Amino acid sequence: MATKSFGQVIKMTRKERENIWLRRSEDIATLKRRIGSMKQNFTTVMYADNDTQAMVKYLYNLREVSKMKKADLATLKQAAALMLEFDKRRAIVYYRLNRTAKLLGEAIEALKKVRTVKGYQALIGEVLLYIGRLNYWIDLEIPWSKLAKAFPKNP
Amino acid sequence: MSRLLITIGREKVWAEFLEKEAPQTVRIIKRHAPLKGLLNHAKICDHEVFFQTPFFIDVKENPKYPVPGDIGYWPVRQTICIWYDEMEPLGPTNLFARITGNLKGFQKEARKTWSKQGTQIRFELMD
Repeated sequence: MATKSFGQVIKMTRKERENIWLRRSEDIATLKRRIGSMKQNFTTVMYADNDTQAMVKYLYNLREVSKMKKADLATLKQAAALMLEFDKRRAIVYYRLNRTAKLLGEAIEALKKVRTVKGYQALIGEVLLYIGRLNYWIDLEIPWSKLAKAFPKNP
Repeated sequence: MSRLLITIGREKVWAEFLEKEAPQTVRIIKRHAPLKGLLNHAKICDHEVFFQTPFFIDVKENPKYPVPGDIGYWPVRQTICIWYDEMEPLGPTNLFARITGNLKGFQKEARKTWSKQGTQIRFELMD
């Protein structure tokens, strides 16, 4: 399979994000079917929520650091690739977020082709917007109100 | 003073842009309007709902502690946050508009999102 160009990956990520903007991501359905320890789905969804939230924070911070004058592009690329590779694996194995994992794989390949800070910001920015949207979809799956009522309050 | 029409669930609400305090943020929001989203409810800060924007606002303008009725942009999550009643915010946020009409209607719909998240919200320019 031919690797996509940098521009194609940006476009693809944007399109995926637009597709899930107001319509639930297909990945949510597979996440909801992923059975975790002791044959339940709750912890899978909660962990996916935590992980995607953490991704948003590091992607935001990578983008912010890249705006600094002395930012070193090679190090920024390596840091992003390491973190995205780790989360790509969790997306597939733990959460069955298959479309997201594919997209992260494409982003990791595209990172290798990044030659400028502007290009880096464009790529990280698109991945950040996509993961942010996905995380909010996962958040909608969690019955926060019911959980809050059931959770014991410390007197 | 330009205004914003907010449709949240079954309610129509009006807000005024803070053009003097946050001119660049207002300009960017206007350029991307109308905005559509699905609301998530805050889990800790109390009476706050928010929705993501598909763009970045990289300017820091009018960072203030919000009061009920304030509307701000939080860059970390590219979200528009609306504080609709008493709360304890994380910190100052870039405030760019304030609800001036039918805050009660907004509160009614926003409160429901705690038990049923995903309420549709729409931001449209009025004039």
